[in-house]
Amino acid sequence: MRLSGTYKRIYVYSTLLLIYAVAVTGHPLVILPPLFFILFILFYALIAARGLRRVSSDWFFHTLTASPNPAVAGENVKVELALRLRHGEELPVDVKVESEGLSMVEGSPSLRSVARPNQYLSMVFAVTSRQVGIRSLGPVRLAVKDRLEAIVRELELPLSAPIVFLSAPQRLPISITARVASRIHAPGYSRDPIVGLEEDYRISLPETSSPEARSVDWRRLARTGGDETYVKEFDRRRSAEILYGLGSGLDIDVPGKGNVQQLALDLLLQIIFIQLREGSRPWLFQRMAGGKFSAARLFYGERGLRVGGSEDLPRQGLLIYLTRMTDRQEEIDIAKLVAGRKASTKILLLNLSSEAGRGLSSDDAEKLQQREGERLREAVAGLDIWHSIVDLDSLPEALDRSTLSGEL
Amino acid sequence: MRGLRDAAALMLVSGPSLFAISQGVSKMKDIDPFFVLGIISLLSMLVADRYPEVMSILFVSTVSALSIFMMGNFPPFLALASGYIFILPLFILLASYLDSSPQSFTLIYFFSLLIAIYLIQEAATGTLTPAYLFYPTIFYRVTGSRPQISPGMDFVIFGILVAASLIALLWGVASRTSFAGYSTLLDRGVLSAGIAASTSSLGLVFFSKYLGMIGGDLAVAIAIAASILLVIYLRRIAK
Repeated sequence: MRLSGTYKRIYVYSTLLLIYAVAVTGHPLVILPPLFFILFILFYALIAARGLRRVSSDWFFHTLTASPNPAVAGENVKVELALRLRHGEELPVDVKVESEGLSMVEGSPSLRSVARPNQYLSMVFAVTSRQVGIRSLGPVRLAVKDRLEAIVRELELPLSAPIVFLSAPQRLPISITARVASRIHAPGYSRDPIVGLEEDYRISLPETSSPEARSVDWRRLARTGGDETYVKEFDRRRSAEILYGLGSGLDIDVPGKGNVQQLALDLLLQIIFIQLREGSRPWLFQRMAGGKFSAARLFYGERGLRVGGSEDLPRQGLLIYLTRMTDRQEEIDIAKLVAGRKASTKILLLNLSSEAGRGLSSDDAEKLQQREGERLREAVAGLDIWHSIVDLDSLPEALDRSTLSGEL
Repeated sequence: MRGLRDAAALMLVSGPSLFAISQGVSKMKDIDPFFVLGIISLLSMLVADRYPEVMSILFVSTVSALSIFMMGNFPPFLALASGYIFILPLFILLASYLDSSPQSFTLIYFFSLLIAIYLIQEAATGTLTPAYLFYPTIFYRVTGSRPQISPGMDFVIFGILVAASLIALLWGVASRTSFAGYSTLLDRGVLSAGIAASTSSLGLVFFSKYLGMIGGDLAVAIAIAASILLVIYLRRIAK
């Protein structure tokens, strides 16, 4: 809790005048006014702060929406925040929606108003991003004040909305009609929501093995008259959490191929669309400045691909992280990201030196590629995480392989 | 209605300055025409937005006083400047009441009060002349070269006006909030804090007078203690 800017300045001015009055004039009529203000602010703060102490973020019902989401890079995204005071009395509030990597194009993300019980306070503004990728809105900061607006209690509403910016609108949505029977246990290669539905999803075990009682398919065992023991090893829904991350150094243009981040995002979306059909829960996240990660859960809505609201990244599943490791801090950030997570993590280190070395002699190009490869390996040497170096041409295959061999 | 309330509040806030100016006028000797011109030209600036032609008063008076000064006659220039200083406590309040932020207006009010007290003190000595306003009487306490003035009835009236102006100023600050209106002052918290602050401030004056303490030093000690208490309390209550 703190004094508001207005009262803080009045307090400072009063103190300065008091010191001046005592040092120079010494007249009681000069001493009294600033002393009165100092004591008034003190006593009022003691009284008002007790009332504000009870106010918490639970007092506010809130929603934050962004539309369209996903959006096309450069397109305006309309953001709406609605706040409602659940109970209590009228409270003057300053509201500010924080944003990461977004430019304001219309309106303001700040609002100064009075929150009243059961009345909505709303603010609308528009944001955009010229770069493809995931951007983040939130948290929402509230400065709740007393009636005289002398004391301020700062609150943070745990509210965030990821916005995904894509390169072009025509990629949404991609409809998948072909039946892909892969015969392998991997997300994204079957349109059936049950793992193993296309193959014999119950497996017969050799007589020598002794499975756990809870995994045995007792009905099937009864049907076969006890000759064969079946276990329900793959009999579960394909609701795997698959987390795709974009790291540093991807926002770079390669001649003839375009922006790397855009290419990577397009590739990921192709995989994600398939995984969505089969019931997996794909996530996209991106490392932002300051080591924070903006995360978005993707799902199908009535109007195609949609981006989920504020949710934390799941702690389980498959995590695939594509990066060029151009930020020294990134290794620590990755370590923090995977710490305490049961997710099977894979890092794809993108080596772009083959693109840069196109104009060089074959020896020089090879040296350049080797050196970049060494740099990438060193950058993740402190992490005990499976990693692989890929170039831009082999990226689609590498992404495919990463999801295939995932232990979900 | 709001305009009427603002006018009344401005009247109360300007009360000490008006009283000090009236005391100064009544006791001033050797009033020079340029002194009057200085007062009028500064006041005319208040309506310069609506009537730009009044700016001519300022230009004519300044150019003529400067011309006389260049010819070797110093007093008219001094008198003109003294006129500016004389009306300054009222001018700065009138000029800034509606346009400035509450904190800026509070600072301006303190400045105005300092000049007003300076005027009333000079008027009480009975030797106030326009030229005198230029002397550094504000440092007399430090140098000890001025005669001691025993507070009379004019200081009592001035004190009452200061108290009224403080209430009006507080209303002025509080009415800029979302809950504007005179009822802001009747809020339980505001009323309690106001009474406690007034009682403490006045108590300090009485204590310092009867207990032979140095009021100023005690006031500074109280201000320091209040600041520390405020910081500690707000930090603790936020946890």
